[in-house]
This record gives sequence, C-alpha cells and structure tokens, in this order.
Amino acid sequence: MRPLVVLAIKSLWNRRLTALLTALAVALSVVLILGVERIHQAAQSSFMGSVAQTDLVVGARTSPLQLLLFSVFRIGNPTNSISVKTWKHIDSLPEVKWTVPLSLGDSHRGYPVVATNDSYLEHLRFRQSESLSFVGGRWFEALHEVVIGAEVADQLNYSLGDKVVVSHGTGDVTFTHHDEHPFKVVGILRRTGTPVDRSLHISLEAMEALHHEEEEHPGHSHGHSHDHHHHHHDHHDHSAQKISAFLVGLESPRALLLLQRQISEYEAEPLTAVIPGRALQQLWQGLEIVHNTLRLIGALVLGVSLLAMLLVLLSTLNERRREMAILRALGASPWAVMGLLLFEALLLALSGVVLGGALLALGLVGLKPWLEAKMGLSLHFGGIASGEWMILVVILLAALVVAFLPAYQAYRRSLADGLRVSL
Amino acid sequence: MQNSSPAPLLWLQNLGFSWPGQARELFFIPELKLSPAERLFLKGASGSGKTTLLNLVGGVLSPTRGEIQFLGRSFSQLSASAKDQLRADEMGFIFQLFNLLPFLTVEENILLSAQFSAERKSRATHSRSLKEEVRRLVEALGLNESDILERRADQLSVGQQQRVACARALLGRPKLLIADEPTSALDADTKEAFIQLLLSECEQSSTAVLFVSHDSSLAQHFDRKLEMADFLPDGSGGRA
Ligand SMILES: Nc1ncnc2c1ncn2[C@@H]1O[C@H](COP(=O)(O)OP(=O)(O)OP(=O)(O)O)[C@@H](O)[C@H]1O
Ligand SMILES: [Mg+2]
Repeated sequence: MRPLVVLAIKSLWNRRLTALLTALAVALSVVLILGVERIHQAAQSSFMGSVAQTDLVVGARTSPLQLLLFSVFRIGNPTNSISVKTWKHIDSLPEVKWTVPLSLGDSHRGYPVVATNDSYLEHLRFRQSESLSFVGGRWFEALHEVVIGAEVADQLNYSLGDKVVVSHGTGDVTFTHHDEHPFKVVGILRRTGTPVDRSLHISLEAMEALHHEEEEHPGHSHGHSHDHHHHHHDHHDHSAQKISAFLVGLESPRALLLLQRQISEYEAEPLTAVIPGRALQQLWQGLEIVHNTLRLIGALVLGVSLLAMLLVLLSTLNERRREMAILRALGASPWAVMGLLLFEALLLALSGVVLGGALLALGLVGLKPWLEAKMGLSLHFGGIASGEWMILVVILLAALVVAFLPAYQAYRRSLADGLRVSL
Repeated sequence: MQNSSPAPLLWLQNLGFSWPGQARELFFIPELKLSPAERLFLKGASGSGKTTLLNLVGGVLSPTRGEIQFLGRSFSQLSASAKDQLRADEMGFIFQLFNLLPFLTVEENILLSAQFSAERKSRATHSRSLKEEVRRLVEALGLNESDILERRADQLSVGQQQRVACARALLGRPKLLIADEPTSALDADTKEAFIQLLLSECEQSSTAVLFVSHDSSLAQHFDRKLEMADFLPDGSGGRA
C-alpha cells in the first residue's frame, strides 16, 4: 500500500496546478463555512460582553432593540429623552442596586460623546466581570473635563491634557461647534473591546451647559431639532433635566421581570425597559436569516468545489488508463487502483481544508483590528472547536463520497482493461 | 510430473477463452509448456488474441475453461489477490508502448518492481545494493548516459523507454518475462539490439521469456516458436 501513497502524492504533484486550484476551491468553502460561524460566535460573545452584569436598560418608549443599540452600542441616535426625575425615582426603588445615567447625541469627530456620572466608572462591566480602569489620568471632576476610550486616544492621537471640541449631532459631519469651551482630556481608559473604547465621557452637567450655550447664541442655529431644549432658560445651575437612558443593576435577579413590567407601566411618562440578553437574543433571531443564508452559500460553494474535484478526477481517468494498467502489471489489485483515486481525493480535500484553515486564520487576524475599530467588537478566536472538527470531517467524508464514482469507474476499467495498455 | 523432463514453469492445459457475451472462443490451447529459462516466441496476427492470452497468464483475466499452472500452482485455486502477488513476485511485463509512469524518474520507475514485491527486492539486493543493481541493469541494457537515472521518464526516446521498461521487468530476477510486442515501435536496428540485450539479460538471470509479436523476423532469437493460428478453436476452420 505504501508505494501507492507515494505514487498518489507524486502523481498529484505532477498535476499540481489543477490540484492546487481544486484544493483552493475546497479551501474557499472552508473559509466561508467556518468564517461565518466564527464571526457569528465572536460577535455574539462580544455583544454579550458589552452588557455584562447590566440587568435592565431603561429609556423613552421605543423598540427594545433601538434602545439597546444607541445606549449600549452607541449605534444610532436616541429618539426621545426621559426626565431626570423618573431616573431618580427608579434609582431609589429598593430592588435597584445601582443605575448609570447616559445622555447621548453629541459627537467628537465621529466618536460618540456620552454624558454620565461616577457610577459609570463604578458599575460598568465588560467581559463578564472586568471593571473599567485607566491607562492614565482619572475620572472627570470639573465641568470641562473629558475621559476618552482607548480607541479614541489611539485613532485621534490624544494624550492627557489635550483640548477637545465637542459638536452637536453624531457622525463625521459636525453641525455646530461648541468652540467656546473646549474639554480637557483628564483620563484615558484601558481597552475593553466594547463600545466604551470609542466613547468620550463628560459629566451630565457639562452636557447641559453645552446646550445652554447653544441656545444663548442664536447665530449657531443648526436646524436640527432635539428634545433637550425643553428646560427653563432663566437659570444657570447646569443640573441636567433630561437624560437619554440609564442602565440598571438589581439587588437580586428575582426582581427582574416584575421591575421590567413596573417600569413599562410607569405612569409619569412612557418608558421601555429592556433585558439586554433578551434583546440581543431577538437581534440574533432577526439575523438568523442572514446567518442561514450565509451558511447555505457556504454549503453551495462546498458543493461546487466538490463537483470541481469530481470533474478533475473524472477527466484524468482517461489519460490515466495506462497508469492503471502499469500498476496492475506490477501487481496492484483493482482495489488498490480504486484506493489510489480515493486517496487522491482525500489528499485534495485535506490540502483544501488545511489551506482553508490557514487562509481563515490569516483573514481573521487581518480583519480583527478593523472589526474592533469599526464595530467596537472584541473578537476572540481560539483554536479549532469540536463543532469545527465535525465540519472538517464532514467535508473530508463528502470528498470521499464524491470520489467514489471515479474510483469505482477506475476499478471497473482496470478489471476490464487488465494489462491492455491501449493507445 | 512427466518422466524426466523438468517441471514446467508455465503449463497451459485445454485453455479456452471467450469474451463475455460471445459464444465463440477466441482461442483454444490444448497444451503449452514453458520450461524455466526457456525462450518462446508466439506469433499472431492482430486481433488473434495475443494480448488476451498474456492477460490470462498474468492472472488478470480468468479462462473460460482449462487450467493454468505457474510454478506448480493452479490459478483456479488461487484468489485474485494471490494471483496479483504472484504476478508482482515472479513476472515482469513489457508492453508495446507507455510502460513508464511519466511523472517519475527512470530510477523511480525501475524501483516500482521492488516496491510492489518484497520478494523481488530481496533478490535484487542479494549481492549488491538496490541502487547498484538498478545502475548495473540499465548499463547492461545499453543506457550509458550518467544522468539517465535522474531523468524524467517522459524525457526519453521510445527506444530508451523500452529499455527502462525492460530493466524494471527484470529487476529482482522474476521467473518469467512477458513481452507484448515491445519492439513494434522501434526501428529495425534498434529492434535488433534491443532483443539481443533483453535476451542476454534474461539468460543471466535465468528468466524465461514469453514474447508475442506479429513480426516473425524476430523468431530466430528464440528457442521455440508457436503461432496463435495453431490455437484456433475447433470448428472455426483454422489453417488447413
Ligand atoms: N475487453 C474486451 N471485450 C471484448 N472483446 C475484446 C476486449 N478486448 C479485446 N477484445 C477482442 O478480443 C480479440 C483479441 O484481442 P487482443 O488484444 O488479444 O488481440 P492481439 O492479438 O493482442 O492484437 P494486436 O496484435 O492488435 O495487439 C479482438 O478481436 C478484440 O476485439
Ligand atoms: Mg495486443
């Protein structure tokens, strides 16, 4: 049997261009099939990591997903705000352990500005249980101080003491500059792999002050209406009247459902309370169609690549009739001839799988910084999981099944041809 | 065993063969004996069944009737894989053309015989190393270029290819060399030289030769000559 193994390898090597292309086709399907699962899983665990230990997210009445997206993932804009009174009331409920207020809607060079208070630093968790910490500096104390995330610091090259100008509205195009009062960077947070990295943090009072100034300078009109303006213009205490949302941590998870219902039925104003894990679950369910479509495409590409392999094996059968007759004359059994073709197919599929694995690993390593910067996803790619071994084994088996047709033909022919080396 | 004559290497008795679905037999051989180291020339026109007969002797096809004995062993008693092994161990084949695997070097092609049969490998390495034996064989067969062993098989002329095929067939001194018109692609001069080298090498290794061809000018080099025409089945109106 051993000479046949060597022969198969040498014969394949002799046809290495076709072999490489066939293996590449298999490799692409491996990349697609495993890549989709990898990114899906990494995104799931990264999203889950961003809402670690937050039991509820509360905001004005809107769809749960939208509330979660703008408050935790800083994707999109808050539609309505809620009153500080409401927040304070819920914060004072006995089953509530902590709350973190969030006021959003402003940006700095495309990065979201989050107005909050000290509880943000104290209670926000990422990757299950890690709390925020500083690369340098401290949390904000004065009105015009800002604490920036790691990604903001890296991308914009900011360091402690730098002056930062905040603009109204999100997105790269700035509507209005609050030039009058630049913020001073007093703290830089350690990287978390969550949207915190892309955020700039100021106090609620600072946000309020920004919007006061805006209204006192009519020249800075921006034709962009928002809800932050319904406060009294005549006092300057800068204490916030409105926030966009707040995060809630409970004393005990048993109170969760009851509190969620209580908040949804809150009388003073219409509220939405979201259990982050549930909302994410909904998000995944919504994305399941996309996921399944990608899976289907992966399966189709695999099918096409196996068909390509079948074609290659079949087309070589004729020109290899002589090779088979020579092997028979040397004492090889028809079974060995059949095994030769099966082994060849296995070798092709195996090199495809290995090549695909290598391409995938390279691709993920290359894509990781981009995904992290753009999506705030922190992706962890481990070794090959057992489910993936299964997929790889199934691919190899499928290749064997497909190769059975040409192999059986070779068997039949070498029985019929015998030692007849025709033409 | 009969009287004083040595036990035959190959013994065909009442051997008939017809292709499946064909009532008429292609040939019928009442008896044919080949002694060890004997050289037999078998002449036959195209389509007379020469290649088919060699397939029977090689154990690749099974006869419709009759018996084949090789080295005292009845093919009818042997399993297919036992016949494959016997072929690997004791028979060398040369065909008209395309004897070599084009993607292997000359040396790798020749060594295939030893790889398929431990028996032949041990016989080839009896007095020298395998590499030396390969080198000796190709030189004995008139392939004298120093780099010949490293060349790819598809870079050789047809005459060279046939010699390499001959070296592979004879490596490890099989008992029987089966040659199916190995010279029909060669020109007259090369043909003559090839036959002589082949036969003298067979003589040295005491290998019997079963040589089939339609070209009777080669018959003079052999101990005995038979014609396929003598083996036409009954009632088919053979030669008068
Ligand atoms: N696989 C097959 N099935 C049916 N008939 C076959 C098969 N192979 C060969 N034959 C027939 O058997 C006969 C003998 O063929 P064979 O190849 O043995 O002749 P040959 O003497 O070797 O001829 P040549 O000198 O042309 O090589 C031919 O009539 C051929 O058509
Ligand atoms: Mg023939």
